[in-house]
Amino acid sequence: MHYRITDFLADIVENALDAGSGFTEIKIIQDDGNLKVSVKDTGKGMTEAEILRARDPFGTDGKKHPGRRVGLGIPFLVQALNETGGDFSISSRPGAGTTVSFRFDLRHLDTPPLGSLPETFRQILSLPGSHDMAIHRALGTESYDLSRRELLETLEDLESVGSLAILEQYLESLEDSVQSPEKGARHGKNDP
Amino acid sequence: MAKMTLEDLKKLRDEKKKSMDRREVEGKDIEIIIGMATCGIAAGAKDTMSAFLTELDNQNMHNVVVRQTGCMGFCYAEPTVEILMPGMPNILYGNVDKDTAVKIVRKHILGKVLINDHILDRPSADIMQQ
Repeated sequence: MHYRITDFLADIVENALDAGSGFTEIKIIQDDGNLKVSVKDTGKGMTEAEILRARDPFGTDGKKHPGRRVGLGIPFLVQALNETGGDFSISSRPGAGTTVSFRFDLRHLDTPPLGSLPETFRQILSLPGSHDMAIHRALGTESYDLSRRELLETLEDLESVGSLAILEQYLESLEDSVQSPEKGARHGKNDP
Repeated sequence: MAKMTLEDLKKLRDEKKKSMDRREVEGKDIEIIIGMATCGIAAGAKDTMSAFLTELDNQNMHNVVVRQTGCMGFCYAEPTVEILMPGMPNILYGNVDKDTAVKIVRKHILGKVLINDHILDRPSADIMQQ
């Protein structure tokens, strides 16, 4: 099981890229004790039967691990949401991509900690390939946007230690800018 | 920290590049590949990646490439990390937590000494047959 909400997010984004997404749109909107996340990809999409299989912990497309029957990414997320009063939805069409949306109730005692968004954004933005990605992060009335293409043009690469180190500074400054209006105890600001 | 713009980021990048050119930083041929599938993430691979980046940055090894890949078939030994570099065999390490990541940078990459108790045989048989 994943420990932080950002781990679930990283896993869903990884699925989108595995499905061949050329452009992945991620929204993380936090307000009134809820964290709403959506990951919309332009990958190969799924049939109704494949969507059902994605929710089955023993379901897999059989490509990554031909001898194994396991696929835990989405089942982990659904289980965590069921246990903490959250919501989950998935919509998909073959050839038209998939959108995974979920909401965590941040006031529920068993909701996992959020984890570090700057660290997670750096990790998912640096996932390899020629894909593009847009991230919208909002906290109350504050927000910021990230474009993988723009960051790649600015930094020249998203894989060398030099680029990734200064990308972290950039991402932390953006996250600070949305956190600062409401300084103090905030769920997920500090992991236990 | 004041909110940075893309222009600030570019300036920072240019400054870093200048200092890198002056010092002829090592590490151009070194690649670190981190398994970032469900199993890796659940075992803390994101923390491992951050630990590598922080330690390599502290060691001024800004040219080292850190890439992510899917599951390498060793779910029981995640996080798994492969190190490719001249002068050393290609090695797949398992159970690479934050402390082990620091050890890999200092001993394997800088000291050219293997960390025997984390070496895995590679890759897992059912993945190999694909």
